[in-house]
Amino acid sequence: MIRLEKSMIFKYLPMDIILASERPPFSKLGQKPGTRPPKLVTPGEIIDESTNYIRGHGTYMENGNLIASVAGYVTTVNKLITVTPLRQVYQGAVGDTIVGRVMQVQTSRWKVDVNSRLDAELRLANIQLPGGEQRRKDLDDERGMRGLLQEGDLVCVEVQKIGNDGLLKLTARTSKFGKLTQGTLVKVSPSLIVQDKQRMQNLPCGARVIFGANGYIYITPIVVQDVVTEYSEDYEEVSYDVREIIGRLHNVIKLLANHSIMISRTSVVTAYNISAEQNVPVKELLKPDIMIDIALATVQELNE
Amino acid sequence: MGILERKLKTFYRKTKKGNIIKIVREHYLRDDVWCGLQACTVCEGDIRPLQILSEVKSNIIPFPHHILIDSNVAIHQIDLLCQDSIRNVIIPQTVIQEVKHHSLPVYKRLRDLIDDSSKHFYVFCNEHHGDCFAEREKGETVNDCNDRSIRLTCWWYKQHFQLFKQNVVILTNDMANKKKAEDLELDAFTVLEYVKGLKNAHELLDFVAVADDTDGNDAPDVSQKFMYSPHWSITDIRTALKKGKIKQGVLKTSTKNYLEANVMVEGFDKSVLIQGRENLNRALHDDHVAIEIFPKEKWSSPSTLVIDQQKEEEEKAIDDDEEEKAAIAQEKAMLASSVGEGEKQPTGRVIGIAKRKWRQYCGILKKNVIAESNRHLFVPADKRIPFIRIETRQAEALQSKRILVAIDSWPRDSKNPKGHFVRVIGEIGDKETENEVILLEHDCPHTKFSEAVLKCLPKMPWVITPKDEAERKDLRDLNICSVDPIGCTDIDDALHCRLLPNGNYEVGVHIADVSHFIRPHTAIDQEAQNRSTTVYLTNRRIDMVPDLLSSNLCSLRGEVDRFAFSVIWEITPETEILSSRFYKTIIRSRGELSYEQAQQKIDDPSMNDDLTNSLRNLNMLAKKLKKKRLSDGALVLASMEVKFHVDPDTDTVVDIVAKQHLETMSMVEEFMLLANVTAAETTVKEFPDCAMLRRHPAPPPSNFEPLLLAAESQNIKIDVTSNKTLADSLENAESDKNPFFNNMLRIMTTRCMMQAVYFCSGTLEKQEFYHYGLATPCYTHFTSPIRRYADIIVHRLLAAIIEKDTTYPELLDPKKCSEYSQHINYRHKMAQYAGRASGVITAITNILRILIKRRKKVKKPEEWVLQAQNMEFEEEKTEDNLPKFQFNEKDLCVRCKDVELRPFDEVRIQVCVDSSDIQHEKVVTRLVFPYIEGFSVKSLKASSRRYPRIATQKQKIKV
Amino acid sequence: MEVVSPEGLRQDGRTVSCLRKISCRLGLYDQPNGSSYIEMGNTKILAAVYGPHEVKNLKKQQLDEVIIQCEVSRIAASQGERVKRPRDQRTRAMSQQIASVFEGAIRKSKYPGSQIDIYIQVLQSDGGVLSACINASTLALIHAGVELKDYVASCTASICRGEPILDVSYVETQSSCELTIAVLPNKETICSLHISNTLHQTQLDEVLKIAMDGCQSVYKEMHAVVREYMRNQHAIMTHV
Repeated sequence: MIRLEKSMIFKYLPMDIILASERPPFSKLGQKPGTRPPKLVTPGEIIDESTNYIRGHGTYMENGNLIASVAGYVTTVNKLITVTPLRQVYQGAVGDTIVGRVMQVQTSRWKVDVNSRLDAELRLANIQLPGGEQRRKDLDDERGMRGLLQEGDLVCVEVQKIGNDGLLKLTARTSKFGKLTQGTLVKVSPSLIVQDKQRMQNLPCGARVIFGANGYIYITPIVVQDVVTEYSEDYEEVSYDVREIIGRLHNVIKLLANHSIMISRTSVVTAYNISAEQNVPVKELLKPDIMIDIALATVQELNE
Repeated sequence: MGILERKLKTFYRKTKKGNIIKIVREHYLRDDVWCGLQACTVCEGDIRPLQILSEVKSNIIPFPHHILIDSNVAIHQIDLLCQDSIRNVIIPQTVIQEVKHHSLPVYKRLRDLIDDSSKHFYVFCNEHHGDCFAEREKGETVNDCNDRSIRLTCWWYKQHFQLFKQNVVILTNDMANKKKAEDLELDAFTVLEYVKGLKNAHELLDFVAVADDTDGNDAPDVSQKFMYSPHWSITDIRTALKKGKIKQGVLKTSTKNYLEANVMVEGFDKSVLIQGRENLNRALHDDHVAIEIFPKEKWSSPSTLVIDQQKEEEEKAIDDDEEEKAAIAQEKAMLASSVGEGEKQPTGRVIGIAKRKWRQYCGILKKNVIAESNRHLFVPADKRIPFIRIETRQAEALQSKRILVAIDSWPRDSKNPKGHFVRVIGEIGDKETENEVILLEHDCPHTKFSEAVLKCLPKMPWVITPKDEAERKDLRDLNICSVDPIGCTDIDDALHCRLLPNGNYEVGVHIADVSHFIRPHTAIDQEAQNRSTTVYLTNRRIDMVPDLLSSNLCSLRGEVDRFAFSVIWEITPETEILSSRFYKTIIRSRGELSYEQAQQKIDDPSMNDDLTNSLRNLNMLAKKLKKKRLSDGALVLASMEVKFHVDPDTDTVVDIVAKQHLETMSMVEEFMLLANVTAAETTVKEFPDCAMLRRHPAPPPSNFEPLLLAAESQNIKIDVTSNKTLADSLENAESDKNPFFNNMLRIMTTRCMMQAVYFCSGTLEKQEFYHYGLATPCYTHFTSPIRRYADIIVHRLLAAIIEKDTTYPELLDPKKCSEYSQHINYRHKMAQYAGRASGVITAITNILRILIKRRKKVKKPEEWVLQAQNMEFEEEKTEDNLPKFQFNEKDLCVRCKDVELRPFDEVRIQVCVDSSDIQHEKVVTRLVFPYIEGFSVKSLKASSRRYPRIATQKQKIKV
Repeated sequence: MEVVSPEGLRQDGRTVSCLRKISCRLGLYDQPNGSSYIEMGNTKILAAVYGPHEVKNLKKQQLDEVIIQCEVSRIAASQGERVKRPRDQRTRAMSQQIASVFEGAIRKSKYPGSQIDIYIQVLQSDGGVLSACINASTLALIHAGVELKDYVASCTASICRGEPILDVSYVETQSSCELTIAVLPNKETICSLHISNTLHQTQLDEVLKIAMDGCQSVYKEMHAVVREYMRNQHAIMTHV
């Protein structure tokens, strides 16, 4: 193994180092004009002393009091009171389109990390075989599971149902789901993803983005023809321009997440455009001061 | 909150390994530090000692003012600050911290002044005051920064006090500091300027310490007639020590020759001899010094000459350069000529002083030939200390007084150290004065208890609350009584004994519960710990705890309810101990008996009450216990203790008697020993690491040599292989012709013994706990908490064991425990010496009186020559016609002409007092029989001729 | 050593019942689910929370509740002398204590079969490390949105010469004991108590009392920071 001297690293890998003390302060954006500040509670705080309410997520009862168990905002739907934390692992909802990574191959099912508290389950029965073939899976299929999806592969799936113990059961029955090929993954907090029917978007800048409801966002080059999802490994080379676009999108999403700006098609596109207009090189986008500038500009534009 | 701002203090420290570590400490600045002025309406605070002043006391400062002092003033001028007329002083916290760092005794005195409400001293926490805090700037030394902070404080006070029309002046002896203070438009003075300007200057000028010129190391004036070589700096010493070039040790000046001293250093078997003024290089007795060792060819042996400064100096004229030079040369010659024979010892010279051990010295003023001069020489009572040069304007008045003097500095060009007058102790010869001298010279704290201490005392009338009753075992119905010497007011032990239905005895020893009143960490505890012991002088008692406790609340007096710490045993009639338990109790003594009274009760067959019976039982058990103890190998030693019967009215000694021994004494003693042993066993079992015990190491065989030789001369064999054999052979050593022989032998054995010491059980191996004299595997002191601090610690440990009291970290820390025991050992030793010295002084002042009073009746005093070796022949230079004495080492006899003296031979001596040296009076014994021509005196013919004397070692007098 | 001067101030200028300066921050990193930083005086702690997530070691999995793992490490320069190993017996003991504190505070039944990891880095230690670690973990858990019964606020206290003192710095612990308690401030219950060196039982009450009061103050400080953080975050999230 070649050991690199420190000086060599500096020589060949120019680095930008910024001290924590020199970091610009977190931006303080005000409340959006026209919205009312919600009721914020922290763990242990009493939300209501009356028992007329039904307790929802993020609350518990003690001595007849409804008490918050997470730090978040209170929402009341009829008699149901829930506290939604600002950050949380993915809770799961039936019908959500999410992105996950295969962690284990087990007998007739895959274990998929979907940023929830347990790894989700994708049954062999619930996937569409290559070529859109619809049939009962037999022993041969079971033996060839690793050929379809192996550990580390990314999949785009739908939440089929939620088990009693909170285990998510996934499905990839239709052609739009399945194994994800060339692209890059960004992980953000699930609470930053805007609820939207259309999870897979072809952005005008020339890339396809899958906004997984679980906070996993996948960016791929736009596929020209609407091919059926292949479980194959042959990759075409992606041009430099597209790679740069993907890189920029990646960093833009990071930037937004970093400043807790909700991530949706609009916000990503806006931020992308601002950064492109300002001609900021892709890697510069990760510098704290530039991140702040772009985040602020994005929020401003979104408000207009 | 009160906190304004947080600062960080960063400093670097070198570890033992030599690594440098960075230490960052927080430092908070506050907005609620108050000024301490009584009338201040701006600040809030509880303690406000500073008064509104209206009187102008100074000739140079035209307004009334408070005084603010800097660190050097606080350290060096503490005697001035103690004066009554110096009041309303502001002491910045910076200053008090520096004082603490620099010198603990001065710090303690300063704290006492602050606690004294009549002095109006106030400590201002300037370090934490937002406006007065000075952050150390780059390149600024710590001292400069501190000075800046002090100036800022003064400036702040000046602004603040304007509101109340008050003023403040800053006293500093540092010219640079003064200049800077004046730049801030502050009123700054040096101490001398200030005191001179005061209206009562003449009273105070004596107390001003001579300005300290940093050890006088600079200013190498070549024209000086006499110069000591400069001292090395501390850093130089450290580096040289590491390289092994020099050695470090504690200097011990010889008592016979003040120009000779010994230093024990590592790596040498013998101590290093330092001879002569120049080699001593301004080091004083007890200083920690760095020495350079001379090459082997310069090694020498101690001089045989007794050099007494007194006589030396008397022959010299004052302050004449030439004379002085000559005198020093002469001194040298004398030293050179007087080199003793015998084995060579390494010699060396002092090159630096790591730590000064200056204290205040008692002594007298030497008469100055030039009557008008203000410069005087002070003669310390301690012969090991050189004369001190002081300036005083009241020499005349001080002539017949004993005074206290402090050393300020010893510049290179001054033959003697420079000091200043502290205070008058009293008239020479006055008993109070002499007592105080003894106490001061033996470092016994003896001042009145401070206000803070007295505040800790319980409020009178003291009552027992129901809470106390609930916590304690009620033993008020038992027949408890105390047995003590006549006139004892601090009764700390009482006893009881009752027959149990099963035929066994229940015996209780009840000890005053002092730890109930003296709580850890209070001022009273600190004070008691510092004193560690009550000091008994022949006519004065210096209490360890205030009188209210020692002779009232803690004293187990008759017919009153008192708190006690009791140990209760169940003992079979054969003195087998079945069980022992400790309790916190309430007792009521049925009577405070004296030894004599108790003895009478026991002996009187007509007495048959419960108390008497219990005493008889106790006595019976004690005898058995004693027998058992002796058979285990405990030693019975004797010391010729004499007792002075003092007439309370005239305060004169009526009679001197040897202490009488009664059965009741050994009865009490026996049970106290038992209680102590039980306490020791209990504490060491529960707290194996931090019990405070007392051990008595077995003396090394060499210690017994004189005893063996002496015994041999009387054809008696003594076996010293163990304490048991020693005890047995002492028991059997009798001489027909001399009934006191056995007693004499026991006295000699006493002198062979080692000192018993307190120690912490965690610091030694279990077998080293052994108490040689008492033949017990472990021992401690539990029975006299009123007069010994060690007992208080033992009480606290026991209370923790029986879960009646709390512990605190220091109590359970073996390191702290060790420290405490060393301190207590030191105080005990000093108290013992002080008691002895007091005996000598009292003897001196009284023996003559008795002898004169009863001249006609007096029988010639008798004594035996104890140890021929111990006779010191002080030869007077003027008389050379002495008969020659020959000392024969082999058979231990002294021969002179045809008279031969052996140990234990009977001689007759005369006792009188030699007061030729007012500071060191001696009891002189003169030989009467056997008569030696030219040496002995004729029976009872007091003559004015000066005879050679045999100086007594201790009081070997028996009237 | 004199911990409290006769003038009533401690060496660093605090009164006996005064906390050191506390400052804390939430959300320093993107990678972990929750992260926080706290300074209590000169004691500086970083904490990161991962999870709840799938249990890595299936043997430890609890089917009905969550398992909590904690790991404390010290950076080499966290003490006066260089720390040779980032993790040793002492940090392991501390990890155990912290994990057990949160056993009682996290609503464990909410996450059956999962695991929560708390990683703590001691950047600088100057007394009260354990309590600062607990506070930092609380903040990180809140940031991660883990369900807690209550905050866990912790602080230290000691007794010196019969006088209880709050929030002891390293120098002050040298001559006395150090009592660390962790409290659920809204419920005013103690969920952990740890004493280094000996403290006598009769003194426990007063030391506990001052420590409880201290914990309430710590809670107030933390609560303010959490609210402020939430307000900012929520405000941003309302845009779009």
